[in-house]
Amino acid sequence: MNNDAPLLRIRNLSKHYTTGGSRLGGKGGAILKALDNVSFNMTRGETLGVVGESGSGKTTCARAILRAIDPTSGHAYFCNNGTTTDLATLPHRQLKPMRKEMQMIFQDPFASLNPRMTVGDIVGEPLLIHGIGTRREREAQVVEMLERVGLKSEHRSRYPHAFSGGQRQRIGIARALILRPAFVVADEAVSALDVCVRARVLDLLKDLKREFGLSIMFVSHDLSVIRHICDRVLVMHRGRIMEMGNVERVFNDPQHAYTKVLLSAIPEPDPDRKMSPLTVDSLTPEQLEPLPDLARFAAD
Amino acid sequence: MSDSSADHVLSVRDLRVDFTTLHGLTHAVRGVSFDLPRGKTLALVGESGSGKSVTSYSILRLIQKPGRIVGGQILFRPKNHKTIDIVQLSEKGDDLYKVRGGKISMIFQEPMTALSPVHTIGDQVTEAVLLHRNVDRKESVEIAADMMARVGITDVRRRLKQYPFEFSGGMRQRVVIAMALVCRPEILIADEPTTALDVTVQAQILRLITELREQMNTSVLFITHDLGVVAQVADEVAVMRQGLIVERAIARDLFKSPLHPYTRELLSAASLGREREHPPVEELVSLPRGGWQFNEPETGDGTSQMHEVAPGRRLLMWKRGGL
Repeated sequence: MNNDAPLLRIRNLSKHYTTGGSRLGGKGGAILKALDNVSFNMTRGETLGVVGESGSGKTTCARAILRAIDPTSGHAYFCNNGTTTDLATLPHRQLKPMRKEMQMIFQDPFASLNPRMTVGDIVGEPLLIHGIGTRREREAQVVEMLERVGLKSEHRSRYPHAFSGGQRQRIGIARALILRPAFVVADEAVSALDVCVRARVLDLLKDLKREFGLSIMFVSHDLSVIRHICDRVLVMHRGRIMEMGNVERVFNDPQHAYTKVLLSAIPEPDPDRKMSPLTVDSLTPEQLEPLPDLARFAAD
Repeated sequence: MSDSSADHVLSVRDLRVDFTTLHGLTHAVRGVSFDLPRGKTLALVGESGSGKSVTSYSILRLIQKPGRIVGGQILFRPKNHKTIDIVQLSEKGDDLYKVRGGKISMIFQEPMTALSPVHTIGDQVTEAVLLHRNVDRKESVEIAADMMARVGITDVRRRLKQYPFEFSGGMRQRVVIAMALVCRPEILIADEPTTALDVTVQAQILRLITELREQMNTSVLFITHDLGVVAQVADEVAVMRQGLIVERAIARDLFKSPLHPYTRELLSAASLGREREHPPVEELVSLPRGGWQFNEPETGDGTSQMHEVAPGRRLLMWKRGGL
C-alpha cells in the first residue's frame, strides 16, 4: 500500500434505526435509514465538506466512520502508515489505538468541555488516556498546542467558564489535535460562533490543516462555510449522497436538482441578488436519486 | 430617511438599559436611537452581546430583573391614536397589555420554546385573539383558522387540534408567525426568527414574512446576526456593537459602500473569502472635523454622537472629553 492510496475508502456504509417499535416486543416498527449505502473516498490532506439539511445523515455518516456509533453494514477502510484497517468491523477493544489517529471537534463549545476540569487537563487528557509521555512532557505539549491555537500558556490553570465561545472552540481544537491525528471530523465546529469569530476560527483550521497535514471532514449545514474551507463536498439528503465533487464546481455548476435547491436558498449578503428559492417538495422521487456517476465507488 | 415623525411608527430615543451583575453594573444598551418607518423593515444587526435583543425586548417592556430601562424614550405612534411613550407605561396598566401582543407583537428565535407543549395549536392561536379582539370563542376560531391558512398551513381544521410536537420546526415557526399576526399588529418584532431553521426552510419563512408585511401593511423590526438575511429582507439597517448603533443606512447603501470599520469587518466576515476591497471612508463621505474618531477612547471619558455624513446615512463617532 503506497502513500497515494486514499486515507479513507467508505463502501456501502449504512446505519439503520428501528422506529416506533416497543422494546418489550410487540409490533416491530419501520426501518429508518439514517445512512443509506454511502460510498466515497477521502484523500490525504483534503478537507471534505459534508452538507445537508437536518436529518440528512451528515452527522450519522461522520460518527459511523469514527465508530462513535456502530454502523449497521458496510466498510470504512482507513489507510495510514502503510496499514489498512476496516473501522466499521473492528472489534471494540481494538479501536482504542485507532482513536489516536481520528479525533473530533464538536459543535457546542459550551457543552463539549467539562466545566470541572482545567483547560490544561482538558487539552492534556488525550495524552494521559493513551499513556503518552511523562507528566512534564505532556505539560510541554499542552503549552505548545495552546499557543498554536492562539491561547496562552497561563490559560491552562483556568476553567472553561472563563472563556468566550471562540476561545472555547480553540480549546476544543487543541484537544483534538494534541495526539497529532491523521483525520479530524469537525461537526458544525463554527456554527455556534459569531461571524467575525467564525471567520477567525476557520482561518485557524486552514492553517493547522496545512501545518499538520490533516485530513478534515467538515460537517456543516452552512453552505458559505463549506465553500470557504473545503476542497470537495458531499451533498446529502435522507441518508444518501446526492452529489459529490470539487467545491467550486458544485457551487458554480450544480448537477443535482437537490443541490440546486440548497444553493438557491443561500441568502447572499447583497440586496441586488434576491433569492428565488426552489423547494424540495417540487422534486420528483426520480430527481432525488443520487447522480449516476457516484455508483463507481461501490464497485471498486 | 425622512425626519417627519408621522412616517415613523416607532422612534427610539437615547434608550439605555442596565443589568446589575455580580461584577457591578453592565450597560447593555448605552443610548440607542432609531426610527422604524411605517410599512418598512428595519434590520437591527450585530453579534451576540451587542444589545440588539435587549433593545427589542425593551420595546415590549420584557426586560426583567436584574435588567432595567434607565433612560430614553420609545415613542410608538399607532394609527388613529396619540403617541405613546412605552417607557412611561405602567407595568400593570391596561395600556401596556394592549400594546404588548396586540399592537406590537414578537416572533422569537426558538419555535419550540415559544409554544406551550401542553396546549393545542388552536388554543394557543385563539388565545391571542380572545385577549386582544372583542370576539367570541367561535369567531376567534374562524380568525385563527384564516390566519393559519395565510401562513401556509394546510388542513387547518385538523392542525388546530394538534400539539406542537406534531409540527416540524418550519411549521412551528409558521404557527408562531400566525400567533404574532393574528391581532393585526402595527409592528412585528422578529428576533432571529430563522436562526434555528435549515436554509431551505429559512428561505420560505423569510419570503412569508415579507409577503405578509406587504399584505397587512405591518412594520417589521428584524433582529439578526446574519447579513445575508439582512440583505434579503431589510429596507433599512442599523448595525449594533457594544450597546450602541454604529451605522444606520438604507440597506443597499450599507452593502454597496459600508462606511464604519466595524460594518466592513462584519461584511467581510459574512462574505467568507469573497470580500471586496472598500475605498477609504474619507473618499466616500466627508467626516466631521475636530478630533472625531471611530474608536471609543480607552480613557473612558469619551463622548459619542451620530453624525449624518450623507442623506440617510449616520455614523457613530467618538471624541475625547465633553462636546
